[in-house]
Amino acid sequence: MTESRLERRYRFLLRAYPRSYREIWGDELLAVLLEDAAATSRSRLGARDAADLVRNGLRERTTAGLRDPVARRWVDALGVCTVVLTLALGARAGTYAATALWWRVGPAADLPRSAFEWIDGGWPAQVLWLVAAAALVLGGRRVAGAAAIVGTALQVAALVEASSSIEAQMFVLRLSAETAVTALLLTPGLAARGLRIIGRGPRAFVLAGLMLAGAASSTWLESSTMLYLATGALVLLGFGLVPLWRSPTVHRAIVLLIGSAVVVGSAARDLAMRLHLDARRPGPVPRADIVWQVAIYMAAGLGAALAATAIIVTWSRLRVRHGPAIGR
Amino acid sequence: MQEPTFLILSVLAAGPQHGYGLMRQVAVVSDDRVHLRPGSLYATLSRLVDEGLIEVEREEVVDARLRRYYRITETGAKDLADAIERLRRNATMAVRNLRHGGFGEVFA
Repeated sequence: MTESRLERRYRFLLRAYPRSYREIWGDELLAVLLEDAAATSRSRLGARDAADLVRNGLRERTTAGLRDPVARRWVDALGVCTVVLTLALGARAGTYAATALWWRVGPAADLPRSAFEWIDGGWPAQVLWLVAAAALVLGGRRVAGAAAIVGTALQVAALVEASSSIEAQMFVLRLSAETAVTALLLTPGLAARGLRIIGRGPRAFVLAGLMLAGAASSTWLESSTMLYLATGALVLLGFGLVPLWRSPTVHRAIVLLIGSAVVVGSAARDLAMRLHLDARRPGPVPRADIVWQVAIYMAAGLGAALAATAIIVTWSRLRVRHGPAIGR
Repeated sequence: MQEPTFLILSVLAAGPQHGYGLMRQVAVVSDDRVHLRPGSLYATLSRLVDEGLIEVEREEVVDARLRRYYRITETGAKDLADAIERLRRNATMAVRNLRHGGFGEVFA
């Protein structure tokens, strides 16, 4: 690999940074990267340097690059939502686990095997969301992110395997929320901000809110995404009421949660109606239909998460310009 | 103050330095404990410039590439001095407690 190829690759990676940052720091950063590569007689792209660039570039795009205090608050609010929604999904997974266990060992245990199919399909994904929520609370943000990715992937796999519209309906509604929360969890610095803010409130409220989320989502057979988004808002209100209720960040988090509940709720209703029509159609739902639904709902979740971050960050950049000035 | 910030300010306290020089010097003064990668280095540098703790002293073009020299500002020097004072006090307290607890020999 010639030096110019290496340079091209570094330039490509620098695209992880926002344009305004690149205009100020890009050439200099590239020079240091190339000087370092030359000094260590490296002609190939170092994997760790590459990961470091992408990570810092994304940080600059999301959290670290915010110079505007109002935009910072909105990103803080998004961080609070990330934590609340992860906990709500975790609590819901906990209820699922308890229900599944009850069906297995409780009075209904002697039902035929086919009665449990709807439990078995989503089971591993639910356990992983429980892990993600626990890891987030215990400070393992990377573990939480990894568990969320695998959980969402398993959800997709279970959904693609699903052969009836009833199964598909149960899984697909969760998927957009899980994709959105996974994207938020993986946004560098976001969950850390949320945890820092929530950590200022009393821990007992976090636990109370968590139990509330679990109890509220135990009506999960009706499987509505709106239900646990609203539950997330309740969790937030639960532990936000006393010490945090004056916090402008928490007000913004409530706005974001209610807004997303309305959007996702109406989308869910639309899908539920469509699936209801499908259910009256004889025979199994074609695999292609289910795959399409998976794609659409994952894209919706991912789009919502990215849009929320991008709007805040772009707005912040329009308001504040920065850069080095010689001898300032 | 985080360790990379502390080390960068410490290096610049001795005199102006450019980006790559800072990367090398941070490794030297930390006895090869801290190796900043370019992405992390510039995350810290841009923040320090924004906060007014360091500033650009001059710009050069070396081998057709941009090179900026940074120097520490008055504010930066004061922040560094505060951080040193805090570390010194904590270190003194920790040593005293170790001796008091009968672990004085680890400082022999």
